[in-house]
Amino acid sequence: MVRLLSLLLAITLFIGTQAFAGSVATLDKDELKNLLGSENVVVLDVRLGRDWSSSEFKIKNAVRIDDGDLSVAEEYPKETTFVLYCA
Amino acid sequence: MIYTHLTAVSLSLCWMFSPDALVFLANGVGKGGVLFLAALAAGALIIAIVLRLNHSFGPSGRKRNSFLLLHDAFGPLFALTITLACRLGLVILLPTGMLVTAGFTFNETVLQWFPNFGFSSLLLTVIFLLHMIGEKTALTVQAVFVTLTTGGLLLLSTAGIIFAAPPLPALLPDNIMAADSLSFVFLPLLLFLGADHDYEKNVSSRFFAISFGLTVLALWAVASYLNVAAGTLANSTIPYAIAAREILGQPGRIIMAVVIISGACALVNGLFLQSSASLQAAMNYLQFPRHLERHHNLRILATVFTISIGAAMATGLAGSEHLADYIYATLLLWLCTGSAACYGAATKQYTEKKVYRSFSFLLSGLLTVAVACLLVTHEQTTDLIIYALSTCGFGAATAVYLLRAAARKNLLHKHSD
Repeated sequence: MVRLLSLLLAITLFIGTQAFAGSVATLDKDELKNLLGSENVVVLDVRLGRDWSSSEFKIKNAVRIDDGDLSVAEEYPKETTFVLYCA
Repeated sequence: MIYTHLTAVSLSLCWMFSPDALVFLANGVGKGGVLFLAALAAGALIIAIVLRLNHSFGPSGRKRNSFLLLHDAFGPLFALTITLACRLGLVILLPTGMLVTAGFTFNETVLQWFPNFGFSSLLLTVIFLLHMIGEKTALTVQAVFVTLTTGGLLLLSTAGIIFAAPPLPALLPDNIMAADSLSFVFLPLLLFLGADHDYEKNVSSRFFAISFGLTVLALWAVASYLNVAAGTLANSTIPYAIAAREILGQPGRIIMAVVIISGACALVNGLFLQSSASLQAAMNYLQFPRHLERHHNLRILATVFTISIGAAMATGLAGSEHLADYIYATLLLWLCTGSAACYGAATKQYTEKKVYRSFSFLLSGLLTVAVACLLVTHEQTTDLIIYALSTCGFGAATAVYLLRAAARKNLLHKHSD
């Protein structure tokens, strides 16, 4: 019974996170290119480890977040749009 | 004869021409300038002497390998522990990191729509299949991988040296005396470690590999230093890509992509073979599994390695900020193993010549100092120590289990005879 409940909980969490993830907007490279340089747009490079160190492409003026701590966002005005650049 | 020599050399070069080794090389020359080149030559010489001493004066009357040398000097528990801790770490962590590097290189240079992780998995699958086909196939393709890597590096090095634009950089970079910069003195010792393996007994091919590796690495270091600012080389995580772009533009990036991808494949394939040989030596000592022939053992080990690396990639280890530290710690363990082997060769006194014994003690001390210096000058010293101790702890626990199992089996065999 405990195992069944655990499995159901895991499935629920999995589906739930997928549903939650689906609410986050994504951008393709052309859309991002149009936004770069805008005053209220900040790119946060959240790639970790080899995802960052092996990549030749680093977006100019992107803020590197190498520890998963997004509290740096509090330093910007509330109207700021943050774009998270991940692997 | 040529085939045997070529494959033996290719195996010894697998680590030296890998992407991570190229990063270490560039970081070193960026910190040390011309002094690093001197350290590079000295490092090659030291490793060559270590090889000569360990493989000439190994256990007599038996097939020489580093496992038996460690066993005779320190006992089976130490030998098994260090072999497991070092070789398993090498064959799982280094390929995990470098396959991801190859994946990114392919995605960013060749086909941007092809997922990097997909390409990494594809490479791992190809290498796995090579080992399933057979050892000879894996060895032959190893030579192809290394040839491609070497060709690309030599081409870029030649272009970088001939077409370097003035003004030439200073022989020594600024801040050369900074505390963390002095690590460049011992860094070359890590670069030539790949020649120390148990796959085959031909020592002359390893000496050739070290000399050839030194030549190619020195040329590439010079080409990089002439074309990229020292500070950039010292701190970049992709110095090879920056240098290739500065030297030949877009064609340079493509050539370097071939170097990185073939270098990563050579490393993974080479470590599969090298680590299988080391673990095979341990299994021979433990005398199990008796009923399996060598080629079956190699296929089983290749399968275990592939599954482990695949699991590491799938669980996001490559995206962990600690992977680089784990890899560095594993390399230091590898160097420690070399130091222990030198000490073992000296204490077991396999030769009557005192000068060789003294030299072995001296080299063992030097390698130990090198490990300590590289450890202390690293940013994450504590993490490295914790990783090394954990790995050795795991190795020791596994070694105790295997030794007990072997003892019970041998006892059973004795009783049943």
